Amino acid sequence: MTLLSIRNLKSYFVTRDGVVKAVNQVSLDIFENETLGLVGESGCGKTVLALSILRLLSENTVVEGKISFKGNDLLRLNEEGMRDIRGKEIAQIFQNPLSSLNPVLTIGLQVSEPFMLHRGMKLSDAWQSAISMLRAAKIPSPAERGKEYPHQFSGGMRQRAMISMGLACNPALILADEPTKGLDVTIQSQIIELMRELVKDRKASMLLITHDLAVAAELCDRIAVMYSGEIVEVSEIKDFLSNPGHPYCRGLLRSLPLNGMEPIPGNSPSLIDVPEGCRFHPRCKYAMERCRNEHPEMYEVGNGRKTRCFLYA
Amino acid sequence: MRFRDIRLDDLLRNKASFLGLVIIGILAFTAIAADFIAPYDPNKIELDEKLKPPSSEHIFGTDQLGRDQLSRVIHGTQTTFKLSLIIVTITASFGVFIGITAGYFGGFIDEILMRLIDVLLAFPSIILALVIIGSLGPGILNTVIAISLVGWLYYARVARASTLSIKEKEYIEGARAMGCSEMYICTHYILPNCLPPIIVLVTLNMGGVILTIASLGFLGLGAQPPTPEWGTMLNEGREFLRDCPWLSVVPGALIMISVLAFNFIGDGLRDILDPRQQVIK
Repeated sequence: MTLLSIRNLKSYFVTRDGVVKAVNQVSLDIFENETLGLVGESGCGKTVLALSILRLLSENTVVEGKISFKGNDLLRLNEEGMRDIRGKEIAQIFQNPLSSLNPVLTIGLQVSEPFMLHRGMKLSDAWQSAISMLRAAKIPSPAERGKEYPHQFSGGMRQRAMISMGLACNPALILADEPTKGLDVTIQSQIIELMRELVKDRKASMLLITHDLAVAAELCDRIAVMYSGEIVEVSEIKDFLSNPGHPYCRGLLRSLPLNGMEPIPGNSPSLIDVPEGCRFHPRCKYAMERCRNEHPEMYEVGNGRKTRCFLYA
Repeated sequence: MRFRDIRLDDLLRNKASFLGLVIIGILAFTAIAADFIAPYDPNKIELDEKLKPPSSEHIFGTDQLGRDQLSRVIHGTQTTFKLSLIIVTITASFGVFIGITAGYFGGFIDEILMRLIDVLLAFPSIILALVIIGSLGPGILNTVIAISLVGWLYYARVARASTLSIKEKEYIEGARAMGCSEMYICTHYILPNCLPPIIVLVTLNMGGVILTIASLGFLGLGAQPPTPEWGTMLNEGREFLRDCPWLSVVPGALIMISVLAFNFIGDGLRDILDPRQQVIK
């Protein structure tokens, strides 16, 4: 069953230097009970895509297309309807846990907030629920630590607190924007383990944004690869790792330390001035005449797999 | 530096703010307990006793109507503290409300409010207060109205500036992603985070408000006789400055001391809240 379906999503920022097409004609489905990885290099539009779903972008952004979620088009819902969805149906876990927590409120109070906002609980009940949420996120002695402020928490603990805030109202979909960024490797694997556990327990779906293929490989069922504001490949994670389709994905895998750390030549294009034809052709060693002039569609490759490359046309 | 970082022992460690706290503590106690510690009724006229120099009976002497000067300054403390507290509460809350509204919503609202504040700030505040009292008539209530009408401007500016920087923080986006309404974000996220500079401003502003109350009283536009009020007493004592200097010196000194004490506390607080001046312990 499809939980969230994005069709032809465009998120443009109008700036003085031109229109930044951060997300360009993206179509993507997230099914129930699955974790979809969204990978791509910095600045390819991953975060903007997530923010577009919750409509958290600033007002000068042009967002077009259709995002269907439980019978609603999120792009056409009014502000009040959106507020009911944010945090309750779709929760976001941000990438920087320190600056994403309010420095003047205790952790317990902040985790209580979603319960009070969306469940109409009183503070004392919400506090109890918050403490059990913190316990579920494996924060030791949650009753005491709940009374502490964010600056008294370590990075890993803060991310655990963020995760318990995000999962407080049992959302159907969790948008996790690089949840392991800035954490050391041991803490990273603990956080990944925790997220896997909590998400599976609650039968929630997750959109995991990351540029770390190892994290994606551990957590995800399927993977979507973004390049320069476009989805270039969607695939089961196993197929992707064993046999990537798009030349960019092949390059990504070859650039892993495990596979010889071979870099992809060139730089990703500016989102203001994207190349004609296939956006990857200037860096692609398989580039043909057609790639320079025509923009490729997503082509079916089999087993639910789609690739935006003329090699598969 | 944040609100919770203001700790009392830091304030006490700083000599100036310690002194300020002690003085304000004594004056505040005097104001609250005025009815119990004043030896005489401040308004009881005894013409036989008029213009007596300080003695064991009347520590600060008596005024031209034979009223005990000590009892009058004690009750004057009450008048001044009560008025300045009311004024600062009104101006700070209104100013912060306007500032957060302007800063958070921005755009047209911001433009209108800030230009209004620019215009009002173009006049010296005492002149504006004089104009307002001039049209409303003298009296305690009108003093409160006049000073409040011009006093909120700085609070609004400071609150707006803090709001502008706070609203770009990631936790505001986080709050929005959690489904918080704009109103909730303003009251639970913006307000507590922009309080520290406001608290400094309140303490520094207290001194200024006391001074303005006294000035208006001195000019005969504030508290009216026989209400004991420092500025009014200073003005009444002026006529007898040569023969009975205690009538002016005592209220004058009290005005100076209390303004100084509030400024000491304000400076101390500002030092604590300024991260560049933190001493590494």
